[in-house]
Parts: sequence; structure tokens; C-alpha cells
Amino acid sequence: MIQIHTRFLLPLAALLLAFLISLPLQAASWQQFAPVQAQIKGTPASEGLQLELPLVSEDGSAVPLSVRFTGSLAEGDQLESIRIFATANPNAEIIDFIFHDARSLADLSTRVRLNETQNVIALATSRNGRQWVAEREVRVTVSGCLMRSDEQADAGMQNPRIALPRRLQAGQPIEIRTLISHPMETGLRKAADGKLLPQNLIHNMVLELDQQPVFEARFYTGTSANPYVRLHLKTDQNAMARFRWTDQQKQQLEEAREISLR
Amino acid sequence: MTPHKHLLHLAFAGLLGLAAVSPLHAAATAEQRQAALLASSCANCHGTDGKLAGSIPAIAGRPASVLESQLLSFKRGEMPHATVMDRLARGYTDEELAILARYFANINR
Amino acid sequence: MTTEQNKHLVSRRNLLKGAGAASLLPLLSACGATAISNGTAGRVVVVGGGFGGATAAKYIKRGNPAIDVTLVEPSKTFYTCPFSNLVLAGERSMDTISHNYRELEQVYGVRVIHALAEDVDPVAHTLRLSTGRTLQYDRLVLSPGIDFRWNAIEGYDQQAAELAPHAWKAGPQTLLLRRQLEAMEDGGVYIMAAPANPFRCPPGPYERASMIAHYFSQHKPRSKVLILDAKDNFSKQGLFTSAWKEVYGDRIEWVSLSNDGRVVQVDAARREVVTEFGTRHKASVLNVIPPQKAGFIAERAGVTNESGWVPVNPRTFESERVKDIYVVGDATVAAPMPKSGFAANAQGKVAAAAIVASLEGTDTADPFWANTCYSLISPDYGISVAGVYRLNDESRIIETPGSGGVSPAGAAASFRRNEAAYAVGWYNAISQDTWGTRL
Repeated sequence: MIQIHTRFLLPLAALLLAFLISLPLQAASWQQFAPVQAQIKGTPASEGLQLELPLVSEDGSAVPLSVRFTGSLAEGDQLESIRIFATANPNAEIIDFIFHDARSLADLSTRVRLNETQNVIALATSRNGRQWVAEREVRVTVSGCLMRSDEQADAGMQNPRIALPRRLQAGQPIEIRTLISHPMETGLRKAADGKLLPQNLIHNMVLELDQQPVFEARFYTGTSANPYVRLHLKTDQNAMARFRWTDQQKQQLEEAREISLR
Repeated sequence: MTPHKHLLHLAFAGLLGLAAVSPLHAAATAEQRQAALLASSCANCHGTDGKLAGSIPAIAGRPASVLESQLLSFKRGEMPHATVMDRLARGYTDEELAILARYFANINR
Repeated sequence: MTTEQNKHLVSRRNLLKGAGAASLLPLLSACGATAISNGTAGRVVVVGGGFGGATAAKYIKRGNPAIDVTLVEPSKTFYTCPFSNLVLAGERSMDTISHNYRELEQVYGVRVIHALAEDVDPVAHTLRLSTGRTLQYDRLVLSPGIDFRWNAIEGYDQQAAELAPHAWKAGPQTLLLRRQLEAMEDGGVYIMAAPANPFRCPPGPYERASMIAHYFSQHKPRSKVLILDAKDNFSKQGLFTSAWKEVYGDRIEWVSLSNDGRVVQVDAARREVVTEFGTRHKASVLNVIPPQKAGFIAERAGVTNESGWVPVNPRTFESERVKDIYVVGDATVAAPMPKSGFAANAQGKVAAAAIVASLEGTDTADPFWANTCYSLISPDYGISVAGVYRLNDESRIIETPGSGGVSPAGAAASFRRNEAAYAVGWYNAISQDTWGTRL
């Protein structure tokens, strides 16, 4: 019996090997994706930018996304932006995070729209032009027990919300959560009568500390309805923080919070 | 499956007195196993082998032609008072519905 | 299945035919590490006696009675989550949602061991039990259900659950929540914290809210139901919200994620919760359904991924990570199939067929699954969502185009009454199919 078995060990090993080789290798799609390529100068680093998304999402209308910069910057250089792209949405842009000064930290979360299963790409750029890239695949399946609700397409900005920690410490990262009610109508969706609903987006949210712009989030069709941004600040001075949302019609809504450190 | 193995299974089934609860295994061709797997989800509402009668009717042992025409009516939305069977029947090809009808027709009530 | 994999399967099959399938199969299946025990058609150990595990055990025996099947389940009585919301509303007793393993033992010849599965050695093919005993398997089925991510919501741990129950595993927790609802003064507020996706039973929280509103309307007419949700959309949302308005007026209030519905902090002793943007809510009865992950033994077996759930080969429900371990039910990543008892039962049958075929060395049949989730708005008002699932060309599970969907909006009262009656019919049938219970 044993001899019979060993006779087949070699072909079996070969089969196993062939199977392993045939497993698909994940190609980095940012190299072939034109909207990202257009932003790239030189060769971006593949280490230093952490992008987190669920492997599978049961609701493509609001997929949680976190991105964090863990790389190192040269003396005097600082991070300028992190841009997020979708490879299979109707529009590539999801959201941009812009660091107007070094007090805003590259540790962010938001919720994004993903039309279907696809890759999401994050691209970080420093003021000196260094770049970092990260990519994740997300499988989008609407669960058999889920149904979408109807959003009000023409609603304006409402209910801005800010959450700060109870205790703020100088020199320590301060986690700030922001949320505003808005349909973020893409301009791609049809109403029941078959007509396209007009695009209605919030353009951006700017954070100022004592009138100095510190951070900005730019929203696109890939940003979920009711834009949510969790960000981090680090400062050693008390300041008045103003959060200002501006929509495509130049309407603005502002919320202010005092940053008073212990 | 080798004939030898098959016989062994039959012997086991007989020995344990399990042939009665295992109609599937008694002559499990690949085709029958495929039909059984296709049909297995039906048991969740109609009971094992489609034999349970209650607010949802039993389907085992009814003529294949009757079952098939009912399933097709559900699929086409022509069945009066349908609630969920129309939504389910649309998930199968006509051929699959015919296989389901024959499968349940061949089960003794 | 990809063409590439198909080719390999074909060549493997040809090889098997040439070599005498019976003698080669064990070698192939475990790379020579273990052989199938002599004298039986193989040993299968099933962990977990819920919808997925009990069904898998029964259908393996139906597929081939000569396969030696052992079911490991700590409890002698299993309480289902489906219909436990009726117990909360006082419409059913715990007896009517309890099941045992007598049919599996006496009719199907499954050996049932009441113990906790503690560890898996996937190389030695052994499972260690809380009794100290070790079981050898050729194929292992895990149907471990869910575990809770304690402290994912600040302040909500196992001790807090004794004050503010989750009742998301049926049993003592169901009774605890029922007693609290009974003891609540009229005019009180029942608050439920509902989790983000994915979680067990997507429409469950909203059926629960409905059934508790029903109880209030009968016995505590001035009381309210408040749902604080970590989601902006939920299962059968349109049907639920219009039915709530129709049946309960403004008794049920739902606060979405984007309206600051996500609970981030729980004070169970004071029955208070705090949401993401700092709103504080005080409850008379507090029900926290925390974030979840695959049951503990899945982690021990090494089949979970970074999400805490179990990726499986959809054709067989064998783990993508560990050979000869099959995982079914809520613990798996099987979307678009929902985490429901119906889906677990359907997956148990697919895994059973695949295991029988693999032990016999025959081809695995093409898998099919269906799902119907009934939810009760009141005892005579039912709604449903259905789906039929199959594999696409890329071997991924898809909902068959054109099939499934939810009950129609604006249907007649008779339609809703019929669906409520079918919900009971469904529960009786799946209980019979899974455990042999005659209700």
C-alpha cells in the first residue's frame, strides 16, 4: 500500500505547486490608473501610508475609511495632502485632505461611496514633492437583507456637529469628529420619473485656528452623504477653532469650539 | 464511486436501519445529488424532503406536472395570493424548476 | 470557479481514476498527514448545534450514513434567536423556541457530546474539548455563531450585559430583557443600541423594536421605543418605517448614524448611553447590541481574517485558510447572503454535500442557496425579504438576477396577515428540518 502511495507523491506535489502558482497575484492598479498617474511625479514610496477599509462592505453607500501617515519626512519638509481615489466609481475622486499647516496630523477617517467591488488608492504628497501610495481592495455586496433609503436630493446643509475630547492636552494629538447633514447628490442618479437629479455637493470643510487655515477636506461624488471627518490636531496654544462648510452654491455654515488646553 | 464502496454503504445503511431516512443515498447518482442540493433550501419552509404540512403546504409526492406548472406560474407572477414564492421562483431557470418538481414528486409522503 | 482551477480539478480527477480513487484520496486531502480512519467512510466532527451545525450533521448522515459524525455542543437545549423577539413581547414562552438533539442521535446516528470546543490542531486534525477529551477528525465543521466585541463600546462588557442585556444570543439574556420590560413602569423608554454592519440577523433589531412596541401598546401604552443606530440604512427599512407609522404611530423613534445615533459609551448601572457627538440618553430599559465577530473557536482554528470573520470557498464552505475545516453560518463572510438562521441552514447543506463528496472522492455538486427572512411588525403583520443565491463565473456568490427582494410596499392587510402566518410556518419547518422538532 505504502509503495502505491509514494508512486503518486511526486505528481501530487507538482499539482499542488501548479495550484499555488495559479493563485492570482494582486497587481498594484495605481500604476495603471490614469487619474492617479496624472498626480504622480517620480516613484512614490509604497511604505509609510496606511489605508484601512473593510475587506467586504455590505453597504457601498457608506464604507468606513481611515488613512494614516507613518513615514518619515526630511528636515523642514511637511505633508501637503492625502488624496483618495476609487478605481471603479463613475468619478475617481473620493475625498482630499489638505494640511495647511503642521498642526493638523495625517490621521483621518471618513465614509466613502463605492459603486462596486474595486480598489481604493491613497496618495500622499509632501511640500518637497515626495509621494507615498497605498491601495486596498474592497468587495462591495449589498446584503440580502439590506435596502437603501431615499435621500432628499435637494436638501441643504444642516446640523453641523463637532465632538472634542473632554480633556485636551498640549502637545498631544486631539481627536476631533465632524459631521454635517447633506445628501451629497452626485448628479448621476435618476429620480422616479427618469430625470437626472441635479448635482448638489458640499465643496469643502475648512478648519481654522484663530483665523489661520490649518486643515481642509474637499468632498466629491465619492464622499458619502452627510460627510463625516475624523481628524487630529496637535497644538500647544489655546485657540478658537472654526469649522466652515461651503457648498457648491457658496452657501456656508460655521461651527466654533474653543480649544483650551490643560 | 467504485461499485465496491457503494455496496458497502448500502450494507451500512441497512445495518443501521437508516435506509428509510436516507432516500437520497440509496441510489445517489451525481445527477440526483445535484437535484437534492438544489432542492435542499426548499426544506427550510416545507420541512425535510418537503413533507411538512402547516400554514405552508407539503410538496412531497405531488405530481411533477402539477408542481412544475405551479412553480412556473409563481415565476411568471401569475399565481394568485403569492407572497414570497414568486420572488423565490424567479431565482431559478425553467429547467431547474422542472428538476425541483421531479425531485419532490419522487419522494413518498 | 476559474478555468485555471477547473483544469486542476479535472486533472486531479483523472489522476484519481487512474490510481484507484479510494486509496489515493486520503493522501491527497491531507497531504499525507492523516489518513481516513479504517472501517468507516470518514470521521466528521461538527462544532455548534445551531442552524448551521445541526443541519450539517444531519445532512452528512443523509448523504452517507456510514460517515461517522460527532456533534459538539455545550447545551442540551438550544434556543433560537428567530422568534425570541416574540418571547420578549410575551407572545411566546421559551419552550416554544427550544430544541434538542434527540432526532440527530436517535434517527440519524449522530454522536452528540455536550462540551465546549476549546482548541483545534489543524495539522494533527484534532479538536480538544473542555472535558479534556480530544477528537480526531478527517473533516471539521465549525458553526460557531458569533461572539461579542466586549468594550468596543466603552463600558460595555460581560458584566454590563447583566444590567443592560444584549439578548443577541437567545437564552438567559432573552429572559433577563423580558423581565426588565415587564418590570418597567408605564411611560418609560426602552432604548436599543443597534450595531454597524456586519452583524447577526440584519432585520432583527427592527423586528425587536416592533415587538416591544406591540407589547407596550397592549400593556404600557405611554411607553416609547428609541433605536440609536450605528447605520444610516437598515434591512427592509422602507417596510419597517411605514409599518411603524401605520401600526404604532410615533411610538418608535429611529436615530440614524448621521443624526448622531452611534452609541460610543455605556453606563449600564445608570442605564445611560452617550453617542458619538455627545448626546446623552437615559433609558428605563437599556438593550445594547454590541459589534460582533466569529465565535471563539474559529479564531482558535486560525480560520478568521483581520475582520474577525471567516472567509470560505463559496463552492464548499471550506475555509480559505485551513484545509479540511468547513465553516458555516453567521461566522462566515458569505455576503450577499445575510447572517441568518435560514442562510446558516442552507450553508450547512452545501458544506454537508461537499464533505460527503470529498470523503467519497466524487464531484461536488453545484451549490445553491436560498434565504427568506420574515420579520413580524405585530403578531398578525409580517414582512419578508427573500433571495436565491448561486455562484457566478468567478466563483463568487451572487443573488440570482431578477429574484428575491422585499414584500411589496402598500400591500393589503391580508397580505401582511398571510406573511405573519407563513413566518410561523417557516419557523416550524426550519425547526423540523434542523433539529427534528415538531411544533
